[in-house]
Amino acid sequence: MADRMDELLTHLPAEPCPDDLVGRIQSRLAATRRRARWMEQGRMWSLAGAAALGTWLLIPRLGILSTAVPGFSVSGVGSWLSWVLASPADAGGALLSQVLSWGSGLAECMQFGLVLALVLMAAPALYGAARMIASTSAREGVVG
Amino acid sequence: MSAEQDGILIRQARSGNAAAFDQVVARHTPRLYQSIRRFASDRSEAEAIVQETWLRAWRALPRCDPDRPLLPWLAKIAMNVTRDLWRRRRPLDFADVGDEVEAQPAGEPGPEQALESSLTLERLARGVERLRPEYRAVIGLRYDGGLTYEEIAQALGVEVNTVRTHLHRAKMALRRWMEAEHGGSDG
Repeated sequence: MADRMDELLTHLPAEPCPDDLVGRIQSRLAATRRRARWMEQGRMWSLAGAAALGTWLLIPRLGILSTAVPGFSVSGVGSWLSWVLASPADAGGALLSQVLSWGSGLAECMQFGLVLALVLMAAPALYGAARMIASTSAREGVVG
Repeated sequence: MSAEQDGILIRQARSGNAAAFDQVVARHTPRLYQSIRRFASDRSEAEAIVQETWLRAWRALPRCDPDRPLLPWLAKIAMNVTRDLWRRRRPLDFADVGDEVEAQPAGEPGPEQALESSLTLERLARGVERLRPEYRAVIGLRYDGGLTYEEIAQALGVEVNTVRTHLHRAKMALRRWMEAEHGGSDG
């Protein structure tokens, strides 16, 4: 009976697929793709706008930023390295105090406009990086 | 319908070729529909499940392995869609292997004339319609979709033994149904 039942079930009458179902699915998929494309374009324009606004806000404040960022020279780095070799503890302490003073100087000169500019410029960069990581992991990942 | 061709089309679709995915849809929708129709409560529900399955498949395309058969992957998505749909109406647990079988003979005497194959199959199809949804799902995936026990287990998210149990109980219920419908002369 088991074999007979298997055979019968294999030949069980099935309701045919409606003729227009494939077409309807393809139309819905096309609409989904269109919507996704529009959303992606909207997102890209928003991020481009954010980057442009950030740049516009940042340019007049570059002077402030340059005063807070320490200047480096090859000779300065060389002498600091020789100091490290001669007296590592002193060199480390001096570096730490220098970093702290840069940090406090940067915090003082940070205005709302500058922070906003940096955030607006960082958002598109972070979004781009996130997308790159997502597409890489999607390419590598498979579903069983 | 070769798996190799599916693999090529899936690769093309993954690289952004929408027409390739449309071809995949055209190739697999009839079989997918028939598998789903076996356990869906009606035609419109089956169509809704199939449509949603393809939409989710499109979104999940980057995670589709083009080197593996496509139908088991689609079946898995379809079962998730079905679960979501049915969860709103009634709880459904494919791992439930309760002893009771809901397929009860209707008690109506079967036709007296000799068994013709088509009549037998029609009776059996009516019996299948009276089975529990999880049994109908296993039958649909096994006999309409042509999936292996392992593929069905993966699609339903249950153990292979559970699939065997479902199928065994479904057949027992159907045997009882056929006997009741035809006075036991079918076995």
